[in-house]
Amino acid sequence: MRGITIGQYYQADSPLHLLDPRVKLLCTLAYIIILFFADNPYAYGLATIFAFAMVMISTVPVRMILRGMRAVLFLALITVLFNLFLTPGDVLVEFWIFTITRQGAQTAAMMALRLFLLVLASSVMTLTTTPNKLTDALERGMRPLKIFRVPVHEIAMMMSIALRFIPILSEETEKIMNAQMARGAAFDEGNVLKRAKSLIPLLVPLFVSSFRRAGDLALAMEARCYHGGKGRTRLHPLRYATRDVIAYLVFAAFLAGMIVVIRLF
Amino acid sequence: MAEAIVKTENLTYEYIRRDAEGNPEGVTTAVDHLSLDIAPGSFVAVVGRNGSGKSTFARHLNALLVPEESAVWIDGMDTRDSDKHLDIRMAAGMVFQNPDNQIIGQVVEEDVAFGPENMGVPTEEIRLRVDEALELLKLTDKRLDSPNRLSGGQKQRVSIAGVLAMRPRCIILDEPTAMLDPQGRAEVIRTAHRLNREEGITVILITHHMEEAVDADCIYVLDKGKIAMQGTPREVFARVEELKALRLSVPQVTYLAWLLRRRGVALPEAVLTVEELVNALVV
Repeated sequence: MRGITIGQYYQADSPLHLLDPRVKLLCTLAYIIILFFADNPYAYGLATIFAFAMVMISTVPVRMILRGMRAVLFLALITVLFNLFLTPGDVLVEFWIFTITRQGAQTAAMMALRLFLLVLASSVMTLTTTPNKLTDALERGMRPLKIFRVPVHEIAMMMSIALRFIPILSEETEKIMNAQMARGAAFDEGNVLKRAKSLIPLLVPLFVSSFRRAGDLALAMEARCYHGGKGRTRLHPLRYATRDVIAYLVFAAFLAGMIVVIRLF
Repeated sequence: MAEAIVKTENLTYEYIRRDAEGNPEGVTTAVDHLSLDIAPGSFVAVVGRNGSGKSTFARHLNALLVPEESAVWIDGMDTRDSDKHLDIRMAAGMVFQNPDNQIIGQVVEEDVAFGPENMGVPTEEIRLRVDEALELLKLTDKRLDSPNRLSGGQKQRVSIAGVLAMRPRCIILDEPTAMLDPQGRAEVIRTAHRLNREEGITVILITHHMEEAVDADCIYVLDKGKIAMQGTPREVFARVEELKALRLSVPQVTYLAWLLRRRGVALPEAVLTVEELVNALVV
């Protein structure tokens, strides 16, 4: 578990990797939103072409991207089945109690594609952006929410501390498990209830040690002059470069294209 | 002598012991009327066994704990003045025991930058300080690594670099070697001495390993919150019997020399290194 990478960042030097994380975050968000407005095959065609172009530019191996897809396969299947069989309209095929309509087939195909593109877009973002940069982008991106007293800096700080401690805690979990197993605990025997019960001697020490770590960390942060986000500067401040402006322009062109296609057909 | 960088006057810290139900059982005095002066540029070791109050004492030097009645001055600043806490923490940096619980950044250089970032140092200046601190601690080639990939000794060096990037006048190391293997321990202690010698930074090393105190300019031995002994390592280690009564070990070679001396072998009062003992015996 040592040196485990959180998220699924794929190290490469593609233009997408170099982009400011805010660009990627904002564009992915806009892409997902516009997908929900897409209601004709042409719009989906355009969105698919754009998504695949991004995959090509990212230089991330397709196999890595497909791995992320597996998680939604089940969800996609259910969506497809429900839409396929339960949409009323012009009957295409009929057998036993099932009827497939033309509208049903169309919606099912579009839903599946929408889901697929959704995951694809967010995968490309997380594969080309380190969790660190993503947190930075979130902090900057959510800054307007400060007006509503949302503790933006604190949320971002918590996220990055969580990311830092996941590998440490998973290593600790393993240690405690081994210690309990050495004393005869069985974590993979019995029914669900028994298994859940066997987790108690694992979770209790893990919680206790997490709280102790949290206390230590708070002290260490305070000792290093941490006093919230006020007046804090950054080693790597987010600064837009020319390539980020170009990226925004390219994306704006795509967005305009999508809107035209959605309106026209 | 220049003005003391750390000065305490009758420093006392008490906490209330509670039983399982949370009812007060009694009062424990962790630090008991402790008064000391530490000169700028010196290397001071504070030793004592568990529960001697040494960690509680350390926390007062960084304004993590603030005395109620007595006083602590860091670089002339009174720690009771809460407006000065940030300045005090910039002047006196602190390194803790557990390396994993004090590294905040996910990348070595980002962790080193954490202190200066909090201080509001401009970006270009942070870059300079981080590079300088990493260079001093010989971590430049690790700057983009995840801290999880480093050894214990290296992690502790990252923690020291993080404090160094704040450009403190004084570094307090609170049992920095307690969780390290012998190699990591030597690495950290060597680094502390180098920073003291080459950069002129005052080092206060809190430890229960007496061997680590051998090269200090001055040793304070704490027991039950009081200073039980103080002096140069040679003065302190000459009092083997008293140290044993406090259940503190002395370095092996010192102990051996002491035993030999008791048996009538002509040896100086305190022998600190193997070399010294060999020289004294061979001549």
